[in-house]
Amino acid sequence: MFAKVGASSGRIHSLEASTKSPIDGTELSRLLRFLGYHVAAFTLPNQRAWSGAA
Amino acid sequence: MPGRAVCLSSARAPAEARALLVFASPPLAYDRRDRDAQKAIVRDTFAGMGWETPRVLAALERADDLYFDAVARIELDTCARGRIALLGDAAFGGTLGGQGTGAAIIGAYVLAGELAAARGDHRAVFARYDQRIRGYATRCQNGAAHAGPLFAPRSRARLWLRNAMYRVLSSRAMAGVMRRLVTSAADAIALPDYAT
Repeated sequence: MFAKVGASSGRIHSLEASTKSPIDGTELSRLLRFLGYHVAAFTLPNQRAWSGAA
Repeated sequence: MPGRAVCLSSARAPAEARALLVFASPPLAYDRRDRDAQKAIVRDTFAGMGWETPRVLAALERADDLYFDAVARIELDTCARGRIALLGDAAFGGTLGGQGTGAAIIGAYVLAGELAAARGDHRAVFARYDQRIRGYATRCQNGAAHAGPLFAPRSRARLWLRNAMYRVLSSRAMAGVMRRLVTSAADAIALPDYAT
């Protein structure tokens, strides 16, 4: 019934069923409530080039 | 733009910047391990947006640290069952703005304290851990329930309202109110002083 959730920097990056506690997609959807949005984040290599943007 | 937001901020290293893109959508089917497919979703979603978006999308193509996920939260009836107790995001992940790091540390403190105090009776420990942490964790989660609409309101009217509210709340006169809004959930627990 329990899921294994990986997280870093406060973000959930993976949620997989535990091999010892099988869990199907229906159960997963009960654990994770989608809130209507997606998020993407990444690093830009040169902040100086963006200093006028923010 | 309604339903889409592009944010740029400082990253940890002084030479780097961080891009954060948030967009409204139905649940998407994609391979979590296929980074190119995730980049394509972002590229298609933000195509045609103004400001610095074209440069951000160009940088996305070269990015090797893309994080892409649904804005979602963990909802469990209990943090523990049998001999397993969940902690942090696994137990009460709250998505953007859900105080996940702080709640994880608070949860670890409570769980460790209860374990030490009970001297091995995990059933009593887990019940108390769940009881102590649940209200606090739920409040942290609830604070993030509107993270998506805050970042990317779905209509121009809501976008205008968000901007107007933020201008007011970020004024010097409203600094105290803003501080309380940000910290009230984080401070909403009285921690026991466990004997060491």
